[in-house]
Parts: sequence; structure tokens; C-alpha cells
Amino acid sequence: MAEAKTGKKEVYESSKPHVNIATLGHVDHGKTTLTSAITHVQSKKNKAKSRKYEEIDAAPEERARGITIKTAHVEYETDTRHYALIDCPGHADYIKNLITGAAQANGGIVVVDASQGGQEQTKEHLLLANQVGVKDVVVFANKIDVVADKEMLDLVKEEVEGLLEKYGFNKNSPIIFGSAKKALEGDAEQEKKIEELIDAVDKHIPTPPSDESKPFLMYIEDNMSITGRGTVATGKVERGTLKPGEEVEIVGINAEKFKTKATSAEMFHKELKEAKPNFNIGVLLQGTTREQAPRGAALAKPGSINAHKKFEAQVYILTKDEGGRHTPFEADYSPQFYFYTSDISGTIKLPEDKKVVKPGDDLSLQVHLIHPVAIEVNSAFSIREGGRTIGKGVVTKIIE
Amino acid sequence: MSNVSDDSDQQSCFEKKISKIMFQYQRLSAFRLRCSQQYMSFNALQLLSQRPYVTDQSSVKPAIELLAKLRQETQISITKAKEALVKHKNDYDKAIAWLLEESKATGAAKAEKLKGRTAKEGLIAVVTSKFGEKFGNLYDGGFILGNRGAIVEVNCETDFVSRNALFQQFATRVASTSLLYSTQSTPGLSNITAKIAPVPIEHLSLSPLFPHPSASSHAINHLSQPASIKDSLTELIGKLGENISIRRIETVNFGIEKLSSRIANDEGWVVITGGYVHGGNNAYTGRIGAIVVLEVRGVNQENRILQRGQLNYSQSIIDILSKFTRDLARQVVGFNPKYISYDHIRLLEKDKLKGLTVPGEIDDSFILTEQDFIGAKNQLTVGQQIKKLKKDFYIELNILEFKRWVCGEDIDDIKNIEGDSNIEMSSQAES
Repeated sequence: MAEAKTGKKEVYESSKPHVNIATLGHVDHGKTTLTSAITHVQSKKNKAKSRKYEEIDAAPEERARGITIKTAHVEYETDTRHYALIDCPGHADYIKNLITGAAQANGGIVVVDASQGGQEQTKEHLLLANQVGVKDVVVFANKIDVVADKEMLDLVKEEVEGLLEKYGFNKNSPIIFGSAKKALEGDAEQEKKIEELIDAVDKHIPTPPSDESKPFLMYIEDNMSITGRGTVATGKVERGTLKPGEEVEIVGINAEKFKTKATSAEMFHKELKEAKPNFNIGVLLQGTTREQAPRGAALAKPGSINAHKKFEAQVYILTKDEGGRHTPFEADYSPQFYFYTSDISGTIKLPEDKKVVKPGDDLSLQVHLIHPVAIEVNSAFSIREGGRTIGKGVVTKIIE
Repeated sequence: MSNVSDDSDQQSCFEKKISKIMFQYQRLSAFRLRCSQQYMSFNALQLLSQRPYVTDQSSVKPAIELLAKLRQETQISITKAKEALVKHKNDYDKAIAWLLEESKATGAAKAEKLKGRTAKEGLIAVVTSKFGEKFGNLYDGGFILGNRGAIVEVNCETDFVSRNALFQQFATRVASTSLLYSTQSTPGLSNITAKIAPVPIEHLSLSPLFPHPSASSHAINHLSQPASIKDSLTELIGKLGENISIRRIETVNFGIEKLSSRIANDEGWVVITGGYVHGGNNAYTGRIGAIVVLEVRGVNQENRILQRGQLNYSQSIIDILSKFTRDLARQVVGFNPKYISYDHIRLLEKDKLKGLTVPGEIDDSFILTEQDFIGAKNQLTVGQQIKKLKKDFYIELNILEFKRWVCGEDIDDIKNIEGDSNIEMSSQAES
């Protein structure tokens, strides 16, 4: 693809599916060198802009959904997919990434220094990968130019496999032995190893499903009744598609689900044959009253999503500088939880060992809502107080 | 204090103290160590008997199984573990002994290499002792009135390392060790009036690293003898591969002499400490930490907590005090007060030397006793809660000092004020 070289923006317009890969590993194990080596190898095929070590190392601060995150992105592509390699300097930044959805990692490359082995220096990175929902990883055992011994490499392999298994990853994830440094220096054999790694990522890490292929979901922003015909519900299509005549379910806010038919869908007063993700549409719901299609409820493909009141979430509490609270809060704190289109009151339940939560904290907690809302794992929400956002979160587990 | 003793005097006095501490520590942990050493050689024997290696003199290959075992026990790098086994022809015990020696050298080399790198992540560790708990070279027959506490900051480069259990253990054990200084006047700093006083890190670095407060015998790293803080630190750097440094240590400090004279005059007088850390995954370490020190006295004879010459704590009073001091430390962590009380501010204002900039109108929210108390369900302020305790239990409490540390705060500035310890001293009461 020629446009890959010309600039960042155009790359995004590439028709290939996009995959985010987190590079994980100890500071000295060679993450940045590897990232640089990948761009070096792919640039020869016009599939990346070669990036020097110094260019990558700086993790610029970004603001995503009002939260400051330190993160570095480097792009490349292969024959089948387009990639962004994400590297954050700390655990907390990855968590913020998860919560804001700024760059949700679909997979990871775990970099291990073969002369050091895994264990203590790699443990926390695998724990993190687990926490941010990375299911598939490829391991790059780096710096083999320092350890030549075959038996030793076998031991590294064994150790890495042990670690992968211990932290819930596939023990048989590909492990590629190589030297990113040598590859960068132009060593042909090592460049091959980098290609092997790129291939392994292509094959082993699945493409995330596109929004369009998911079941239809839209959160209702507003409603208007049309006498004798039903109610028009408006909102933005989160995912999936909707064709006139399809059955939909209204989920959440009201205790009971309500099934009906979408007679028609409109955008800017034009009839749509098919509504797609990110369209702002109005849907005419057959035989539905306004009360049956309240703001905040979800309009969804029947059976695809349920309403819940209790869930576990990973949250980040904004600092004062980010516009958040000045003071901490305790258990049973009751702010509003903003899901897509509406605020719902609820109570925060803290884990046993946590007494207070301070601005700037990230933690896992429980939320008990007063109304049910259509959510699932990975649904994002804001925590608000008098209309001001004081935290961001993502659902990690449904309780009830 | 008028007599300014010279450095060498203080140094030798300090060395004596350290050797005394070492002796006590060794006596204390001799049993545990014996146990763990036995355990270690038993383990190695078992391993060897399971798989007797015929060592070929000409070309020694490391036994992979032993190598893996060695890695697990020591977290030493693979290359180093291999070297150890090859050098000692797969003799596990010898290899491990050699590694122990080597780890100091390799750790030191690593530490040297990483020295220049910025370390602003890390942990605040807070340890408070139990009521009446003894530690260190407490004078014979002596006892601790109330309890003491220590707060330390240990830095590393990334929050991945600060989440590592080895790092958390180390920070906590440094805090434990620092408690030694809560019963003796720090050499060179004998004129301190602060209740929570800094301990120069170099004074502690030769001291043996004390066990974790929650330690059972297996928690003692059986590879190390009671290693000094300095050696443990280099070992840790070797294992975790980041620049790690102890940045600051402070302890609740009441010299014995001072204490004795108070007892003589005032029987009911006890010093208690509360500690709290926030933003971690255990009770001892976190991102923000605080300790608060209070004096307590029973206001009438019947309710006093200490009687002359012996400890006479009522458990229920201890429980109430423990909860209150912990809540108070939590308050300090959560609501970041700048001053203890209006009295405290008046005192500071009087003290011209401090060059204090008291803001024109001080918000109540900066004054600890005026803040709504986090541990009260009924909207009492901290000051009101103290009055309530007095009314309910006849205990008079007075907050003497508090410290609140955020990990990595002003880390770029710290270098500038280093060497000018007066600044640190004069800002005592403010923070």
C-alpha cells in the first residue's frame, strides 16, 4: 500500500482492519528497540515509516475523554492488517487507556530479555495485560546475541511458558527468539526473526470484530410520540445495523423489556435503507408509548443485551487538574452514573481493604444503580456529580 | 543542647549502637535463620538425591533442572545462574553460596549502571508498632509507652516495579527497621524538637533489614543472612533491574531520657502513633502515606492507661485509641490538612524564625482539628471527636504532629535542597 508511507491520517483510511497491539515488558528488555526494528523491517516493504529509537522513546501526554495519558503510538501495516503499537510508561497509563477506550489493545507483544529470563521483571506486565483485557499475546525473547546456548534458550522458553500459563494466557503462544538490536543494525538473519514476529502477530492475534458486524445497539436520547403510529426514538447507533421492519427490544430504565418493530429509520428526514454505526437516527417504533421508550434505555437487537443494576467496574477518578473532585470519597458515596445518554443514580461499594478513594486513583469497585441499564462487560460510563464529570469507568463484570 | 560533639565521636557512638543492634537482631532471628538454613540444605539435598548428577570434569554443562530451581529461588538472571552451576560443577549448595557473594557484586554493578536514571515512582511505606512492643536496643527492663511509627519513601522507575511484591516487602522492612530510631536519639541530630524526625539514610544503611511486620519464619529470605539494608537494596536492584533508592525516612522519635523524665512527673502520659497508606494493595505500602503522633493521658486516676513502672493497658482503651489514630492518619491522607489546629497556627506565627507564610484567611479545611472527621458517622469535626473521647472515656488526647507524604512529590527539587538540612528542619511543623 503506497499510502502507508505518506502519513498517519491516510494510513487510518486504509481499508485493512485495524489492530492495536500493546508492547509489554520491563524497561530494559528492549521494547522500544523492538518497535523501532519492526518499523525498520516494514519500511523496506513500504509498510511503515522507519522510526528511530529516539523518536519513539518519548511518550507524549495525551488527553482522552478529559484524562491525561502518557502513551506512544507507532504504526505499521502488513498485507492483511493495519497496526498501532502502543507503549505506555506505566501500569496506570494502560488502565487509563482501557477506561477511556482511547486505544483499546486487541493483543500484546511481550518482550523478555533472554539473558535475564522472565519471572520478577515480567510478572507485573502479564498481570496488567490480563487486567486490560488482552487475551492473546506473542512473546519476543530478545537479546539472544548475548546468550548463544541452545539449552538456555530452552529454559527461557520453559519459563516463559510457565509464566504465560500462570497468568491465564495460552501456554502455546508463539515465542520468537531474536535480537532487535541486530535487526536494527541490518543483520539479515535477525531481520528475518522480526518478520517472523510480525507474521506471528498477524496469525495469532485475532482481528477484533468490526462495529458493523455486531448486534444492533442504540441508546435513546429523545422520544416523541406520533399519534396512531407509535414513538420516534432518536439516538446514535453504537454498533450493528438496523433495517426497517426489523424487530428491536427496548432494554433498561423500565423494569421490563419491551419488544417491538422498527417501522422505519430516518436520518436528516431521509428514509434509510440501513442504519450503520455512528449514524444519528430516528427510529419509528410500532405501537410504542413514550414511557415504553424512555431516554437512557437501549434499543437493541432482541436478546443481545440485558439490563443490570449491579456490576463491577474498573474506574479512574479524575484529579483536580482534570476537572475532578478536590476531596476524597468513601464507601457508599452516591454520585450519578452516566451511561451513553442518561444519568442514573447509584452507590459505590468499595472493596474491603479500601476506605477512601482519592482523585487520581484507579481502582476496581462495585456500583449499585437504582434503575437497571442496558450494559455488558466493557460498557463505558462516566461518574458525575452535579453535572460535572469526576471519574470514568468501564464495566468489568456483571453481578446482577 | 550546648555541647557540639565532633563528628568522629558521634560516628563511634553510632557504630557502637549499630553493633549492639546487630547483636540483638542476630539473637532475635538466630532461631529463624537456623530453621531456614536447615530447610534450604534439606531442599537442595532432596533435589540432588532425586537426580544424582554425574559431573563430567572436562566439560561441565549446567543441569537445566538445577538451573530452573536456582532461578526460582534466587530470581538471579539466567546467565548468572548458569555461570554459578558451571563453576561449581552443578553443586547446588556451592552455587547458591557463590551466587550470594556474587549478587552483591552484580547488583552493585547494576546499581552503578542505573544510578543516573530518574526514579520517581515507588512507594510510601508506613509501619506502626503494637502497643508496648519492644524493638531494637531498648534499655534493659525498659518498655515502650504506647506505640511508635515510621514512614519511608522508596523510589523506582516504573509503577510495574512498585507493584512487585519484593519491592513492597523491601519498603515495608525498611520502615520496620527504622523503628529502631524511635527509641534513641539520632546521632548528630540530638537537638531535634520535632516529634517525627528524619533519620539520615546512611545511618541505617548498615543496619540489618528487619523482618516484615507480618512475617512468619518463611518470610525471611533464607538466602541472605540478616543482610544490611544497603546489601538488600543492591540485591533488589539486581533482581528487579531498575534504579531503586531510599529517598527519605522519618520516625516518631522520643529519646529515652526525655521519656523517663515525663514518666516521673506524669504517670498517665503515653505517646501513640497512627499510620495509614493509600493507593496500594496492602496495609503497609501505597502512593500516599501519613503518620500522626499524639500524646494521651488518662484524666483521672481510675482511667489512666499507664501506672507507674508497669504496663496496665485496658484492651478496650487500646482498641479505641488504635482505631482513632488510624482514622486520624486516614484523615490526613484524605483531606491533606496543613496545620494541626488554631493553636498550632498561633504558635507558628509567633515563631518568626520560620519565615512562615500563613495565608491571610486560613480556610478551616486546612486545619486538621476543624475538618469533618472521616471516622465519625455524626458529622463531628476532628476536634469535637477528641472532646467526645475525653467525655466518654476520660482520655485526653493532644495531636503533636503529623506527616503526609506523596510518593515522588517534588522529586526534581529534592536535589536542590539536599545538603541544607536546615530547610528540612524548619519546615517540620508545617507539613
